[in-house]
Amino acid sequence: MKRRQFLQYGGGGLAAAAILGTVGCGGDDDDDAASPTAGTGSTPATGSTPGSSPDTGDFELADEQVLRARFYFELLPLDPATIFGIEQENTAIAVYSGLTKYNANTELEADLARDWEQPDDTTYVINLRENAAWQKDYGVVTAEDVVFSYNRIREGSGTYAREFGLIDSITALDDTTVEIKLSQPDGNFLHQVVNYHQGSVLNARAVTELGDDHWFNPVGSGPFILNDIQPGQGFMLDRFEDYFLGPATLERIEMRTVADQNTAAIALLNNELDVLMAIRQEPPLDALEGQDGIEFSVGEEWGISMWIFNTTIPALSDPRVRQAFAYAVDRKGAIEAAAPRTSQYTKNIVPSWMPEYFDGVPEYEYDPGEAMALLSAAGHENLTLKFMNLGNPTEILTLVQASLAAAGITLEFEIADRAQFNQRRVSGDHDITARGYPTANVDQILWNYLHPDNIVPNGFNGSRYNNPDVTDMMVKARSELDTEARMQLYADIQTQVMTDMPYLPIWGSNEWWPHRSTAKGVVCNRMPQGNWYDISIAKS
Amino acid sequence: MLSYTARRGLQTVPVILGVVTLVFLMIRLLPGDPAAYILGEGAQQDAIDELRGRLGLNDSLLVQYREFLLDVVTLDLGDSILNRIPVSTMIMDALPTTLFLGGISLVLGFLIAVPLGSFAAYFASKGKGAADQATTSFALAVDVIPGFWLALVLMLFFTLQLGWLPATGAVEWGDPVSLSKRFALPIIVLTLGQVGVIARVTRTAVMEVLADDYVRTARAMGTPEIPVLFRHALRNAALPVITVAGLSFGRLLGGTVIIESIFALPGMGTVLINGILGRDYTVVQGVVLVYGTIFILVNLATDITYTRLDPRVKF
Repeated sequence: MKRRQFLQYGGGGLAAAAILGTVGCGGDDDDDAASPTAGTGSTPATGSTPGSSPDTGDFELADEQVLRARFYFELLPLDPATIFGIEQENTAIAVYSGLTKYNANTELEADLARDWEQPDDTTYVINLRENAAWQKDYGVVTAEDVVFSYNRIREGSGTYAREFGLIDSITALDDTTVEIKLSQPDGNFLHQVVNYHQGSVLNARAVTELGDDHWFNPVGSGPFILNDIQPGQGFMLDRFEDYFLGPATLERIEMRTVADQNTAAIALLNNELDVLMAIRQEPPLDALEGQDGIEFSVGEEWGISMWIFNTTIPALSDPRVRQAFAYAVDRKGAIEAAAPRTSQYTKNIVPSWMPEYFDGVPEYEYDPGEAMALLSAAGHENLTLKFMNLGNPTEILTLVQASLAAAGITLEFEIADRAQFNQRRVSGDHDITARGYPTANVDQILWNYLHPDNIVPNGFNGSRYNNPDVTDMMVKARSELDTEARMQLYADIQTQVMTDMPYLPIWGSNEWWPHRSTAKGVVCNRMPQGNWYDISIAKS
Repeated sequence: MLSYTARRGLQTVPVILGVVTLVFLMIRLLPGDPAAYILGEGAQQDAIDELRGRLGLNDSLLVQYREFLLDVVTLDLGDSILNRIPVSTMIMDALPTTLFLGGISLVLGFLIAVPLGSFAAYFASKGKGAADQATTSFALAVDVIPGFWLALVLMLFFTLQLGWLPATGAVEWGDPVSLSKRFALPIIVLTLGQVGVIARVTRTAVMEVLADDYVRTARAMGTPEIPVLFRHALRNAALPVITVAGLSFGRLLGGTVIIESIFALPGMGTVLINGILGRDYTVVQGVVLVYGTIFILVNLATDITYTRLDPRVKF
């Protein structure tokens, strides 16, 4: 009998428990959920999207359209200027709208914007939908709301202010027309106004009237209204009947707080939940895979988990040592052995699904001999370094540690909890650590990691990478409107970076959203965002 | 008795103050800035500083401590840094879940462990080694099984295999059936966690007493074995058992933290874990203060019970 069948039938419970027990009550080892910025693909949006109700497909709807979804922390303030964490962001996208949004394929679509024009390379004129209503009787969305929302980000000192760094001015030309002027061309600008982080549009009057209370009682223009927050238990997202695309099929989403991923898997199997947000451990997926009535949506390679080499450490300042790490880590072997579902092999700092991805970068196949030769040439045999990890090291990290040891590199783990981890990572206080970064905008990856202005603590360039040639190419690529020339610049950047190796792309992270087959239309895209509006419940 | 209770009650005040001070210092000695955590990575330093100012974190530790003590005295535990809800409200919402879970588990643990330990002692005194070993082994086994592992085993069996009990769900105080089902598994886990220690201590204490002259006298007078065991022997063996029960309540409270998290119960443990993860100083301080106070009060009750059980006991 195969293991899966054993789990499914008869006395498999104890065996499964033994397996699950090895991960204990670990909750989420949310490697990098506290991630930053908004995204973009590089494919420009297509313009307008006609209003439409969700597709209910070829099935009979259940009488009660209530989705029970797993949430896994306390709800934090839904302030677009500071929001972070995948579970929080997934709540915000249900409540707010942006000028644009990502669809299920992580492609850019119009949201509050009806369409837009570019009279010149640095000007966007955006026409808003005329029927977009605010929740809680706050009227309709106006251009002044957009101006207020985006100026609030630009003029504040929140996390995402730098995302609007290229904006020179935002002006309401009339009630439904916004003009945004940039200081230089940005081929990916429409990704900055997506319904994610800083791009969410707020109701100026509600924010002013409610002050800080607004963030737990928000007035959005999205398909659901936030209600009934119960600390430790969850909250409700109730359908907004006047949503501009028409009311969602779901009447309500019950966000239920279930921190432990194994408990969540059992609750899904027992029909206590319909969809599990963010499963990132293998044991619960082991238990769910192959079970009747369970399906999966996967946000593949939603972020590249990159090892950040602190180049102020003498050994790590030598690119040969960094390359030695790349040769010494048996990435394919570790992924296959320990995290075949939740991770995937990658050789580039740019995810393979992005149009700008370049496949011809230098590749470092596992070769401990080559690693040792490089370390010897650099004069750093028998190297010992510390790796700062969020929580206890996972199985895959332990395997990576073992493969490094085979090349003479001793990796010691420093265990930090979320608050300490974030603080030390932001300040760059580590030898090596990791970061993942959900975005659909290649510029955000490149600029945040590689631009000298973003060297820690000013940004996410924890490696302190500063290659003037790469910086120059990044500036040119962002402004270049000719697709072929742009792609060449991006290819050159990726090639150079994977030679310099300030960051080691250790693996691509996959986000699993298991769900019951009666929950129709569940898709987790690569941000990773759920498409709450499109979900419906079928009769079982 | 009244003066003794009052005296012991007063003695708890410095202990509670010590707990308050330790909690205050420990959470602040942990690395990780709550303001930076709340604002997320990439927050600019002036934003972090501004939030720290609003939260009073830029004040000296002494000033913060004074403010904290004044607030505690006036029963104002402040607002959560993360979600701005008054901590007292969060605690009052969560406390019933934890007290219900802990209270029932303690009582059940006592009801199971004391007879188990007593019978083990009886069997041992009668030379029935196999029966003694069986009960002792059971007590040892349930003592060493990790709670989180047992929780998952029970969920797989009672939730998935049998479909009798839920793994998660709302806590509905007005619906006894739903409530029983919701709490059954966590209570089993916590109860079994209590049984091991109390049963083994009971066994040892009762065995000592069973060798005493007055027990032999009772038997010689024809008193049946059950009354001998429970009316005479156990009563005189109760002091160490009560001591351990009182102390193990602390362990039980610790267990609720993990078990609430696994079973997604909205109790104090869940509030505490989220508070620690988010560096929510006010929440952690408030919850630990309540936990500490409950523990101290339980031990005060234990001391008072001593004097009731054995008037010779003087403090």
